[in-house]
Amino acid sequence: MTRLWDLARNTFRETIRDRILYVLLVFALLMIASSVVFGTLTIGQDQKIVLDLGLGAIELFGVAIAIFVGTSMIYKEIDKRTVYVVLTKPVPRPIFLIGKFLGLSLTLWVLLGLMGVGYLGLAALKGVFAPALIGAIGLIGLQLMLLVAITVFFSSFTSPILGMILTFSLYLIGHNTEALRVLAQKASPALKAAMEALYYVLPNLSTFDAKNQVVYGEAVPALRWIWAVGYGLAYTVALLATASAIFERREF
Amino acid sequence: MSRIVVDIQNLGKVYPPQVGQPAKVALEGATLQVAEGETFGLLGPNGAGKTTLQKILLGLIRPTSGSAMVLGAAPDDTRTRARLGYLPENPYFYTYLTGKEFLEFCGGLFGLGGKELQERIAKLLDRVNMTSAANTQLRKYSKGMLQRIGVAQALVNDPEIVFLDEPMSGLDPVGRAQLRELILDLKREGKTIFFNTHILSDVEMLCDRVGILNQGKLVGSGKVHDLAGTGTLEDAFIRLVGGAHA
Repeated sequence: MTRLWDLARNTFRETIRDRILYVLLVFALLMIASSVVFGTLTIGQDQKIVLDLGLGAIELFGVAIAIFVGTSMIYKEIDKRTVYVVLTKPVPRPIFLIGKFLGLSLTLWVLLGLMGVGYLGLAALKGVFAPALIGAIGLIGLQLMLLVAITVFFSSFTSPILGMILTFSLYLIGHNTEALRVLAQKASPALKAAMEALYYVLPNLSTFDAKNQVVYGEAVPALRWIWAVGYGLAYTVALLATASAIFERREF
Repeated sequence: MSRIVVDIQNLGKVYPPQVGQPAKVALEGATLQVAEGETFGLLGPNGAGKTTLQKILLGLIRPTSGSAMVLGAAPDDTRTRARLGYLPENPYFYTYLTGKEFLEFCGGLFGLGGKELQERIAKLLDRVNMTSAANTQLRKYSKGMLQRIGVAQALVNDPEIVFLDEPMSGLDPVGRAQLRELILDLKREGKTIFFNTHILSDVEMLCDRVGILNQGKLVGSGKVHDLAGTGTLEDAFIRLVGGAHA
């Protein structure tokens, strides 16, 4: 356990000391703040705009960091040969991967916290703060962890550029898996089965999207939150386990 | 004879074909043993398979044929690796860490921590003459400083066997002399040292025994003066590998 923590802390340090992160963070906070300007351009909807754009900005920047940093972090260890130092010590390879995953996840949660404080502060200022907004940010965090797990999975066998393209594609598809089901209805039986299988296998990222309900003040049932947490964790664990099995066979 | 701590039998490694490149035989039928407390030098021209052999001994890659045992067990056993130290060739470490943070990280990977680790790190930093740069980030280190912090991380667990891959490469004469002194110190402490090099003078000064690797094959091994015979080690080396590189 101490090894896992040491590896996670090291990745956290690595990512948090990266200056590009702060540029992105400032940009994200500016975008959240700019939602006030957009809000004034609309009549009667300004509060919704502030809430909606802010959550959108938080997700956008979180996803950008998860994909960019996630796809390169393991490749960098191999390319710069720091992996030699770690894997020749008594560190099982899965622990190395999980440590990297936890380190970047921790960084993302810290960033999410900073962006969240800015966002919720703005919402409070506008008098539209609701506890469900915290839940919506939490779901974004779970989604980011799942994305990091996807990048770790791809890094175990492919190049960073390909990993980035594949993860980004999965992010786009993952928010539209319902479309696969609709298409399946119109397809031939064989294709239909394949598309339905894909529907179940691909990550359903809309599970983590509670933005609309929260922004428009609709009640989000407790079961929805519980399902999202369970689904996110189960999918993440499955990805990390598969990545570990592949990484065990790799040679350096 | 003392206990055998590195036992390689008929070891072979073939790298699978890559795009545009055929399969590459990196090692072929290598058999050698290193006894406890010995300083063993693996000599050979660049690309002879020295790094491949060390990587197998450290569990980074797996042999295609034959067997490699370190301290009586397979190298991919984490308990075995807990007793080894390794300095890779041209090491690149985490540049965003300070020297001290890096050693703390490495110690942590061995399950070490607390006061004991702090004391050990202070001693190691002193030993490699890096105490004054302990709180400087590694990105600001010179090549020689990186090599010295690399030696310190290889010793953080007080290993029984120390593997060094081309430890002198890129060092200036002073750096080389310091590192040589350090290796001699380790030798006096009774550590087993296994190092790869293509610098013959280092081998003559430091090693009890050597193995000469050429194009993946072990073409000679034995005590330095036995291999050299009536001539110098350089003569013997050129005689054994010269043909292919003339």
